[in-house]
Amino acid sequence: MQRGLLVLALVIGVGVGTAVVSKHIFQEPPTAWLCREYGLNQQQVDQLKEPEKEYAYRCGHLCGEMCKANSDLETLALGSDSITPEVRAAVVVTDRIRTETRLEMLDHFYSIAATLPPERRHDYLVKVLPLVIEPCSSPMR
Amino acid sequence: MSSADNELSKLLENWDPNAELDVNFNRQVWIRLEGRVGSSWEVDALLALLERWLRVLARPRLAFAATTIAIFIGILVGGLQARSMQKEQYLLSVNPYWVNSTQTNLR
Repeated sequence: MQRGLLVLALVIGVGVGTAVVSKHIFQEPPTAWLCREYGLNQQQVDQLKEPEKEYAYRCGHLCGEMCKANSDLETLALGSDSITPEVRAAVVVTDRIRTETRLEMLDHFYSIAATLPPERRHDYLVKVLPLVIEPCSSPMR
Repeated sequence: MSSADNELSKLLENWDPNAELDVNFNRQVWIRLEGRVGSSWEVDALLALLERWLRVLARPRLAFAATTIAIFIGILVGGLQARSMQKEQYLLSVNPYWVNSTQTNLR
């Protein structure tokens, strides 16, 4: 019976281990979902690469700015016990960067939608717009 | 009959069990019997079944077959999980707020 238990534990362990490893092996780049979901051909996939690159660069820059602005706001807010002009200005800066980021996102989504079949563009926008409209919520919906 | 048997017979004839039973003795015996019969036959059956399966699983051929099946199921589950997460991964990849929220303490 002990040997049977050992074999059972081994079988379960091998099954779970295989699932974890194969999940990593089968993982594809994020754009693979776009290709599958919207039936893009190789030419359309290649068209996506350039906007993706530009978007990553622009958003990376804005992310850096946002981190710095948030950090400044945190320092000012913690060092004060009321809304001083400096705190107010720091809040305005974070909002400005957030607005710019949202516009960048929207611009990117329009450019991606333009590469999709016309009848599927609306569906794509419905899926990604919550990121722009409710940027603080989780995208896992 | 040996002398030892005779001695035992005499001893038993003279033995007078004078112990008095508890008033609830019969009731307690029945309660214990009922408890044993009611609670364990299902558990015993399950344990016996489990034991039988484990004995079968301990055979090398079946152990090999079970491991092979586990590998196939693992590949299937892993592949399906990877595929089902693609949409979420895409949405995360285009969401700068998600990247930003992992880099800063002020959220």
